[in-house]
Amino acid sequence: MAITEDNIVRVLLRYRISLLALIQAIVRDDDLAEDVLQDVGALAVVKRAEIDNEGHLIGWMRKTARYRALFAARQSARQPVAMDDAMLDRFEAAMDRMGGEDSDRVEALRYCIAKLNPDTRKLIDLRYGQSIKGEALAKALGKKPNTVFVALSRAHQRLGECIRQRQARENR
Amino acid sequence: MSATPEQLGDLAWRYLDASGDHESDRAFAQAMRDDPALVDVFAAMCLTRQTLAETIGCKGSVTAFLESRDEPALAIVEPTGAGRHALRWALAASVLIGGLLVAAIALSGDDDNPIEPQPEGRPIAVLMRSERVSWEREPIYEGDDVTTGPIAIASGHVKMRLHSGVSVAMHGPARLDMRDAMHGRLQSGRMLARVPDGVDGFRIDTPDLSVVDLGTEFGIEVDAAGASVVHVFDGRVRVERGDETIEVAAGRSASLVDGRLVAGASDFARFPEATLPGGRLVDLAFTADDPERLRLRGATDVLGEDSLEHPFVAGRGGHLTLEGSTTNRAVFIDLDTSLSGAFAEAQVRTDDGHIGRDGSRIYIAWLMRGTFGENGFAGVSLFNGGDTDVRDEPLFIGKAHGIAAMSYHTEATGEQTIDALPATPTFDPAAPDGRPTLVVVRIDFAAETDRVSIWLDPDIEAEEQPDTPNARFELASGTFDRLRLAAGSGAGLWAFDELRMSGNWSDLGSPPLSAGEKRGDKEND
Repeated sequence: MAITEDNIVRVLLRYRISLLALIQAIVRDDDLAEDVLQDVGALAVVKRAEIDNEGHLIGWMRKTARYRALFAARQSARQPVAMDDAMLDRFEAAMDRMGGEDSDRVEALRYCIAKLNPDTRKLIDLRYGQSIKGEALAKALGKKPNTVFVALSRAHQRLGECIRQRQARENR
Repeated sequence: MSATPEQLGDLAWRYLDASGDHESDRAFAQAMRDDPALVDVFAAMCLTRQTLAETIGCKGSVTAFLESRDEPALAIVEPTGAGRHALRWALAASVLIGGLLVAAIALSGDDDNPIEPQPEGRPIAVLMRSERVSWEREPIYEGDDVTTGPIAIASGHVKMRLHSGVSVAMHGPARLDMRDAMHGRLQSGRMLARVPDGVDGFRIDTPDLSVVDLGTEFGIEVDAAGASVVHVFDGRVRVERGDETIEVAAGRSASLVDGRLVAGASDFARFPEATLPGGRLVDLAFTADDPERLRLRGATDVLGEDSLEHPFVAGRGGHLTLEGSTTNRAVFIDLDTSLSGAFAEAQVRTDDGHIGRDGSRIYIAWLMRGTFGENGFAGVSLFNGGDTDVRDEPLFIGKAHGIAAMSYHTEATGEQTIDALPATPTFDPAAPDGRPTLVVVRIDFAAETDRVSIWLDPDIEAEEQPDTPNARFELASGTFDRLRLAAGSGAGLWAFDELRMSGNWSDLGSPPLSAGEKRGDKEND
């Protein structure tokens, strides 16, 4: 049986973060990523007769998000897409593995972020709370850009691992 | 040569934030090509980045995110950061999808409010009733679990029973953020709470003060500016503001005036639709503080410690003992119908505040136990306007003078035995001595005459059997404003317990079980 608009809405709300993460990794632009996700939602409605169920829908959305993001990135011509097809296949498979619903991940994040040390917390605050990026972020912290990027990278890896463990514990 | 972890972190983040140049992007891509496992690491990093953007970005800071503990994971209505994108996305989607997704994403019923998903927290309550509600998030339906997090309604009212036993009603527009089954924060609007005996420490915070229950029914109103007024309708509450604390008793209110907590008169009219789930107009377990709570007067020095046992009634607290061997002993319960939202809901109030409005219906239930001899009387009476004159007592039910069986008395009928047929599983008319009998009385008030139905030992957990009462008769006027429990004229020792009054049969029994309770889950609050 084909899916309904309700199915589409539910999946879009539940998997918004992971879909955006995939799109963003390709287009590397928040606004453009949002536009692509809108396209994916609209396309899902148009194609809903061809989609069997919610499980099929999330897989279909990932594929569509990938191809619409590639298309948008090429159209914008701001930066070349650094990842080739093999990398994107692996990226997509990793997203699928890490899957799960956004709300679970957010709950796990709540637990993990409370454990951050003050410096890392400040870094996260500035980057996401105040949307300060790149060189400006390094300047705000009085540090070299590469130091800040390494710190951001570590913080994300640490948080990501904590979230993964937390989710695994919750699902045990 | 492979890159060091530091170099990879630098490259990955420059790539993600689009802060690098073509050279660093190519270097990053090459590193992943050389070591495909890095793609997995990068994917995890992207997911974390997006999760942070959708949460911290939405709330404005880590602290705000952590403080919004039970708010929805994905707040679509916050017009900042990633939330701004989310709102834009929801609105744009509604346009793109031409009205199909509009209904599901951006509209709630007839309103133009975007729908947020309900927070997926721990179940803490069951939604008992929702009337004319416009939800500001996904609707919650009657019988559904209510989870920790904000409950927001634009209009109408909802009633829920928390797993702690506390009943809460909200009147829209209102937003209540429940942290657990004993603690919440009313951010705006009006709410009413009834806290049963034995539940201690129920607390509601508002933007400017905190209310701690001391065994009570109370209402809180928070206006658009965040200013709160607490109205106490029964029992007492403690109102806190920093180091300042005041206790507020029934009939009084408290609010902040010029930075100080000030007491005033309570105003139940502020809660015109106050209706609490399982709302009993009277709920008397005969505990030590009942005399104060329930305007109980008379022989209140004879409260026993244990409750009477009955198959259909879960006993709580103690019981009332009246020794009617040598003198008449009586306890009165004055029913001030202006003090409880349940009376408003039952719509039983006459213009002068008594119970008996034409077209309304009321149920009264109690347990009684004693010896059915020829002498004496023991039972419950309705009184209206006075305590002693027989003209003020339209109805007596129990063991009447001269009848060694469950019976009733009205001015028109005199003493009448209650026909024990059709028999119920537990009632044995031949030998009720020493065994508690559950009496349920229904009065249908009408313009001409009122109709009384009496059941003995009915299963109050089951549906009402309106066609099979043990007695049914007309009454010229059953209007009343107080109840009397009495024993005297040589009746011997009688015990009474679990006196309940409600507008519905279903409210006489135990409150409905939550989904978790039905499964036998333990409460984790």
